[in-house]
Amino acid sequence: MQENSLSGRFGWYGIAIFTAIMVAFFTMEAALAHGVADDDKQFLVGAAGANIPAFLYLGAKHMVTGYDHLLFIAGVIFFLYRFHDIAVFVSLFSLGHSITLIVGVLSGVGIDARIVDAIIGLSVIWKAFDNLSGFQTVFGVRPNLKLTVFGFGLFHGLGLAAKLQDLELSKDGLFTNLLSFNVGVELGQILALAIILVFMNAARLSQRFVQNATAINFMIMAAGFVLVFYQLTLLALGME
Amino acid sequence: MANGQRTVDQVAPSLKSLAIGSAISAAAAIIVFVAFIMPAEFQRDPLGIGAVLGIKGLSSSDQGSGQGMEAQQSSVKEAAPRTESFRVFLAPGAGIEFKLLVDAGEPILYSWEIDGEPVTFDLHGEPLDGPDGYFESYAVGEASTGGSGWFVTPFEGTHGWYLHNTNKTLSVFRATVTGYFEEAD
Repeated sequence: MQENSLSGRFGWYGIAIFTAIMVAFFTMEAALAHGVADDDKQFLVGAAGANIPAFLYLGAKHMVTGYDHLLFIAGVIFFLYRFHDIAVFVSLFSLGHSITLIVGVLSGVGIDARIVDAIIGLSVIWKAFDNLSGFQTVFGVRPNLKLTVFGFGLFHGLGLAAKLQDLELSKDGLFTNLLSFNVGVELGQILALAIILVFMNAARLSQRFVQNATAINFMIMAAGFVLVFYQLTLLALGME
Repeated sequence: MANGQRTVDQVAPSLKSLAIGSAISAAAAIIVFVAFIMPAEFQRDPLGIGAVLGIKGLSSSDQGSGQGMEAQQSSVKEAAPRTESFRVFLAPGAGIEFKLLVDAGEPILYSWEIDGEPVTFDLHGEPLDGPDGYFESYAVGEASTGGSGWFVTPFEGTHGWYLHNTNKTLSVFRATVTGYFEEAD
């Protein structure tokens, strides 16, 4: 492999940037988490009925600020290099979360959002573990990747549905708003994906990418643990 | 794929590395969670770091003792506020304190006046648990015959007037106070 004169530094930059982003996200989350639903409700005040632009925006916002979703996506595309592969797996994820988002909201069924979010946290741990060949090493077999991504996509969609149901949508124009939200989610996902890929490509240029990849996946795993602890604490304390 | 990009399909640490790495991930997560997220989100600060960093209660909505970033602007009480009138005789040369016991963050509205010669005063508060002799003044004056206004108590403690009658004749201090307070002994 050709030696890239910048390769040595990109790897560390990649880790440093990733760590800084994680710390910033969790701090911001702490500062802004409460009242997010209220802010969104405020956003919808006076907007009865179908409101396509508003829900497009909300959908995109929920994906771009949904760190649990972003972490899973980052884990999924971590070792995917060809556009075709990335498109296939991201589409499977989108299909999964779209199904449960729409069915979840329309059916009005509410599974405890904390349990769903804990499972989403678990998906992050799972994918990082899988990236580290954990299943092969420990169990001798790797779970079908497409099924995994689609399956967890279903749970991510339930999480999105719960957030949307928090906004107490009017029945009037519900279907239009729901579809707009879904499209917004996909747009937000594309945006987030582009940003993640920029960092990934930078990291991949490093000659220490292999070691860094291991470390970064463990960091993603740690982030997944934090997500799970957070949801379990909410459950334990009876908080929302 | 750009030139020079690594295209490894996966990384495959050994079982031992996997176990150690996963354990470290979980441990790091626990530390981050207990040190930063619990104080900020759940108002529990087992390590005391949250208080130091000032993130404790960062996202609390209505925690009574929260170190919120804004002063509390409202409070729902179980009883109506008191309005009381007080009178204190100030003998010539006397220096006395008339104080009320008030919680932190409480607004107190007052109006006071002097019958007789003007006196020196210092309207201030002293915290219940603060360093000895520590106080914060809300209003001061020499040769004053009265005043009106309000203050919001910065801490729980005794809040009220120090009055010094520097004259050779009796002066009488009268005040009307509204708020949530008790008379200090």
